[in-house]
Amino acid sequence: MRIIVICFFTLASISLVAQERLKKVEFYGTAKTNVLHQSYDVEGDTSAITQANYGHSLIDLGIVLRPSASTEVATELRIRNELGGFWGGAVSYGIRRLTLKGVVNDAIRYKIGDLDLEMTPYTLYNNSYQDVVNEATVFQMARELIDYEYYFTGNAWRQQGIQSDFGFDLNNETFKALDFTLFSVRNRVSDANSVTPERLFTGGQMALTSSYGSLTYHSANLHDLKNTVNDVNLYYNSVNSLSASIQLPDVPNFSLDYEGGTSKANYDNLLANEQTVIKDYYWNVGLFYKANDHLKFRVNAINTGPQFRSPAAQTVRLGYSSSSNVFPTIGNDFMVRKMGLLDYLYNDVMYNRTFDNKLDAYNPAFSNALPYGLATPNRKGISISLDEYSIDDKLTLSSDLHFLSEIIGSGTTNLKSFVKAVAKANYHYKKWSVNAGLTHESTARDGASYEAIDLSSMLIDFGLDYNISGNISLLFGAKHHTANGNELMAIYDQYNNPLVFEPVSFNDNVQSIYSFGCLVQFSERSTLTASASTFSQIDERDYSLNQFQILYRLNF
Amino acid sequence: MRNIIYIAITVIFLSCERDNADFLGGSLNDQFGILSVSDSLTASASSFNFTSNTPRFFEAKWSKNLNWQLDIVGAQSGASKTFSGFSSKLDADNTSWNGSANDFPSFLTENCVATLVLTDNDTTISMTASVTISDTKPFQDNLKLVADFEEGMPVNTIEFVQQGEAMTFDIESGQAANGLSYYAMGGIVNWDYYLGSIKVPVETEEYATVSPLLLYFNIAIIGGVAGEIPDNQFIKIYMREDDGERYSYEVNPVNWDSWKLISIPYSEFVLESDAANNTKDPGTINQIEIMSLSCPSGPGTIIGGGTACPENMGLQVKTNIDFIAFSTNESYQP
Repeated sequence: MRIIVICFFTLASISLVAQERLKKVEFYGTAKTNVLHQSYDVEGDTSAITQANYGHSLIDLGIVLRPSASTEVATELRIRNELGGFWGGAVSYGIRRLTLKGVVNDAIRYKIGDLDLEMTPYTLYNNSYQDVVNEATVFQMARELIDYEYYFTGNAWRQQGIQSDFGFDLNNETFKALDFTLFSVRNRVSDANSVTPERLFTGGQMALTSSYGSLTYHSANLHDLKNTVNDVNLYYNSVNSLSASIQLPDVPNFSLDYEGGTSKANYDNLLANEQTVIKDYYWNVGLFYKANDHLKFRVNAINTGPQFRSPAAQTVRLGYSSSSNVFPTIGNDFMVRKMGLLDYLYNDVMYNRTFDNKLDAYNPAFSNALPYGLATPNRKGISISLDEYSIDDKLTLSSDLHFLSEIIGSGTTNLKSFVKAVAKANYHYKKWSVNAGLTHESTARDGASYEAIDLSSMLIDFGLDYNISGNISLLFGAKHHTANGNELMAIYDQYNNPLVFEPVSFNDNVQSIYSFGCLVQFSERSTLTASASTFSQIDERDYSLNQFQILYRLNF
Repeated sequence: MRNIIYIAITVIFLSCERDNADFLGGSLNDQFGILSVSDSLTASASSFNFTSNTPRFFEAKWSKNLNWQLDIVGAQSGASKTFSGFSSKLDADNTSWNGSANDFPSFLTENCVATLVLTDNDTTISMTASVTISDTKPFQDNLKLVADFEEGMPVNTIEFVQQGEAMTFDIESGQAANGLSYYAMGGIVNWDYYLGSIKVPVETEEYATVSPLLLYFNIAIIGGVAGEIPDNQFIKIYMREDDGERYSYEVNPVNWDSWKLISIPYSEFVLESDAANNTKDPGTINQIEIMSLSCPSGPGTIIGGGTACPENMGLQVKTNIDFIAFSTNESYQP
């Protein structure tokens, strides 16, 4: 009995100690079940499979260990089971994340392992989706799944390597602090068979904070590591820039933002002993006007050189010309089915995770003005933005206007001109909330029939949520995309210089997706969404898809 | 401080300048534009005198850059000269002509027809122009003509012809490589590889200081139509020097049926006699021997050894030659 009492108190003590040490070991997690049923309808197609039923369940268990006050190890373990993988037949295990971070001497912070890196839109930036303006809640929930799976957090790229931050307090009234961030990550693994060398992405930034504003130097370098294979070609690209945000002394409501820099791409052919160097520069200067807390305008002049190369900012997030394995063909001649809005949201299209030294293909129907964001080469012009303008805390409006043109013509001395208009609105009233957005793009070029371009596209997002009760909502979402006109797409050589041009045309192409859903919120951490969607595409080959989805999410 | 800010902003704007090309990538006009001719093909003069310094070229202009080919063919000699390129016009830069041919035969004083062919993805345009050659091109510098058979055999040439059937070792007129005459070597000898030869005496003192690498032996050779000649007929060339050394080179096989320039640096000849100083001395060459050879068809013993080639039965050897010459630094330009 005495022994039992001792054991009880010992266990109780351990339990209390464990309570004390909760901060040293933390668990968190996410559980998700996603079930999709899709049906495919093409008139006259008797060969296609018309039904698809798939999905998965997964549990991500996060563990945070703090062996000391200055060290933390975070990991996420995954167990995933595909729908239909009975008795463990399709179970996969893995580590989603492993990061070690800490502080040395209370001064230098470091992080090793999985890192989310972001600098400026010209140096290191994961540009947002091109098929999104202001998405409905029912679509946002699907989008969050993609973001979670592909580690898209804001505009950061998930990479693996080492990062360190440190800074100095300058004890000066004018120059207040100097902060450094340095990182080096492994961007590509070497492959002896294809003579592909190891590739690293290294860089950082140095920020000077002063009483007039901030001045930051950024450096982003993508480079092959010598002697990791029997090198034939070596690639090195560096982008160096300065950005500043300055409060103009004479006009307190105005501030000036500036970023400018250079890029240099080196291609070493070791067999021919030849080196090709491609250099260019960019600048972006903006004037920010703050009338009051609710009304803010921004005007930017941009100029990004035709030879500007910044792989970490020019890699597109989603391959809009890629294909899905769900209903991959169309028609009895087994043509590749053109993907659409539903595939981008729910199916297995291609997402980039490493940086390419070649400019990615893009779909001009979705973004032709700025397919690589602000880092799109060969663009100059003006952007005007209305930052979020709210009225009575119910209606929020924002818009962007871009008037751009090429700096140098593509295949002709005539220049393309681009207009891109983006407008967003969010409205909340009692149990209703509405969000809407519109992006309209037009591209034009005058000239002879073989060089004339006239392309316009439009993307509309609309969402309506009605909160029936505290934990049940009805959701409606719509996306509508149109494209009409023609474009000549460049086929690039190994140095990203256009070689020839391939005509593409859109003949009143329309695609739209409508989705109705019900969201049940069991608790703050647990939701169930059921939605039914219908998608149609009017293109060279028309087709439609219907979908039913059940999505359960639990955070703990 | 505020002035520094404004100055910095101004400097940043003014400091950058690009050196751009007209446009990026290949021209859309070249890729998709319609092909049309604005200036037809013409020669820069109605008659070309290649002994003068006057530029001689062809002109034409069309709507887009593309791959073009200009062929000039001599009406009498059958000689041809080809120019090709990627552009939207012909001018002195891309069709300047010094009277040379692609290969033997060389041009004569004759009428020529120039044909220009323009081809893009879906259109082919062809046009012609005529021009007369009033004077053929002079020989290039440092050329020593040994024999062109226009005025008979070189002095003291020794001919040797085996006993055989339809043996032809004579100067003949007609479609020569250069001029109007050439030396025919051929026939049927079914018991020996050796059909015959000519030995031409030469004096080459002027090449005493020329490296064997830079002394070229040039000769025009023509065989015959496949099936009518032995596949393995060949020519062997001997160079004899004053010290008794004999160097050889084989042109094997001779299986083509139009005149062809064979140009061999003396350094590629190999010693085939006892060595004297075992050094090629271009200035001491005193004789060139050109032999016509072919595998004999048999039957019977093959004189000089070797095996018979029954497949050559009834086939007549044809190893005609023309224009034997030395040049320095470069091959002869026909």
